[in-house]
Amino acid sequence: MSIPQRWLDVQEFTASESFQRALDIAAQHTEDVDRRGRFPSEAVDALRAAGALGWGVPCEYGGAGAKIDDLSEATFELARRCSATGMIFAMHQIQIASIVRHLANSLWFKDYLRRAVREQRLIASATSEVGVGGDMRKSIAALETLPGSSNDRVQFEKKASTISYGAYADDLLTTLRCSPGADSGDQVLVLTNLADTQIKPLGEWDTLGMRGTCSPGFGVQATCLAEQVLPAPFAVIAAETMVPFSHILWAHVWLGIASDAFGRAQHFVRGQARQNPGNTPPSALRLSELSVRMAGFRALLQTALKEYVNLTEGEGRTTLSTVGYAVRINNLKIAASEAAVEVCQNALRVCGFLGYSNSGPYSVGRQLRDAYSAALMIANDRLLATNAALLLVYREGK
Amino acid sequence: MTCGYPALFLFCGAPTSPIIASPDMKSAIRISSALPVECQTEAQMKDKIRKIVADHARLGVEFERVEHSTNLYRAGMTSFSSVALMIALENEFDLEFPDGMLSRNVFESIDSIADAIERLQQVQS
Repeated sequence: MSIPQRWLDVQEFTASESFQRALDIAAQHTEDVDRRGRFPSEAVDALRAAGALGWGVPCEYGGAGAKIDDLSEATFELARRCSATGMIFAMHQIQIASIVRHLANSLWFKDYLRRAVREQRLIASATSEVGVGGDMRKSIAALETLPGSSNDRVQFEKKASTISYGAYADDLLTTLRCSPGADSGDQVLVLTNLADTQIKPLGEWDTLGMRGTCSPGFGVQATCLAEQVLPAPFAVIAAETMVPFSHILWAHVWLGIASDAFGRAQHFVRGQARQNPGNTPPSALRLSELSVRMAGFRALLQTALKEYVNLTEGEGRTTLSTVGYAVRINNLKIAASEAAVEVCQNALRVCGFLGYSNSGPYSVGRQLRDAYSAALMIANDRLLATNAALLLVYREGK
Repeated sequence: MTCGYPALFLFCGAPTSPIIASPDMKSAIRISSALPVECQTEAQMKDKIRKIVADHARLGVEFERVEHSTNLYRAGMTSFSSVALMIALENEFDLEFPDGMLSRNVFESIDSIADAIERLQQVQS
């Protein structure tokens, strides 16, 4: 496996033969992945072969130095073929960015990034926890000093309510309270090698959609070096990187799913038009409505992406911790997750029973089932409640 | 810190700091209603903030342990309780935090809140 030392630009990556191969492989296995609720191992292997798992790592550590706009593009293209592969790629890049942007001067993490690129390591995350009511910004489990280790080794035990591809990843990023006496919101992020981490599934992952992400709950227990704790508080990592990266990249997964459904509806309408040349089929009107929705959906993402890219370099970075930005990035997540379902539902109405069928070129059942997960990944109701509170003090109304 | 300008003066000239882009009539009127409030020393202001934090920040630790420099978020203040704190501060000090100031680092400690309020009062007086 040869990994390019440096991608010159996003086109070089997305147009590269090895990435195109990964896209083809993702498309080829998507139905089986969904039907059997299995990990898309062929597509993830192909991404590894393309060097894509190290893409978000800066060039100085051997990565491609891809920025969030490059990653969004790649996520979108993958999710159009296989939503699970797109989501796994997105989540992995979110973990990489959380490390890259908050490692400060940690030699351990710099060395880890080099290894992550070289070995094309896949990172999962355990930010959820049984008992915190879905609030990522709270932890019950705490990091403890390993007794008799003179503070250089730490340990923890956590019940995560969901870890996507937890059984297939190489490493795990876990949120924990920073010490046994710390408040539930005083969290840190710890990276452990899954080979040295005991993880035990807490249940099955047999869901309506996003079946290939294989995301059951896990009991996690690990001992590691104190250096494996990211130096920044999780509050900062969440506000500046994890939350905006998640909402932007997830939204591109959902745009990919919606685009797939829209494309199928478009083919269906063209097929109808060909059967009756000279007449515009009635379904074409609904398709044109759908294209308006898609245009709005894309614009929503482009605006959010542009704002994040502008803010994320230099002094703008502190703006990411403001009430106004929190409101806007939450709005992106809510709007994108709703748009995805709406587009898939309307694509189903265009395609009729051929869309309702579980197979065939016009089937949109899988896309609709996958899209329904969007409102649940960090529940929209929780985000609406947060924004309801924030809007009591935020006045601009942008 | 000087107080006591009639409301009319607030419309003269541009704000001295970019913190507030355009002090509108509403904030001017609000400030004029604040005239009875006496000028405060820094210590008095921090005591007042401390009391508001105790009532609204819903901290997870014993309040006696909270110092002026204690990070309130690390002490258990959530984004929900920080909103309650912001509203209470606006009421007690009779001011409005502009959107640009609604940032995590502004509300992270009694010291940083006092600093922000002082800057606002300078601009608005």
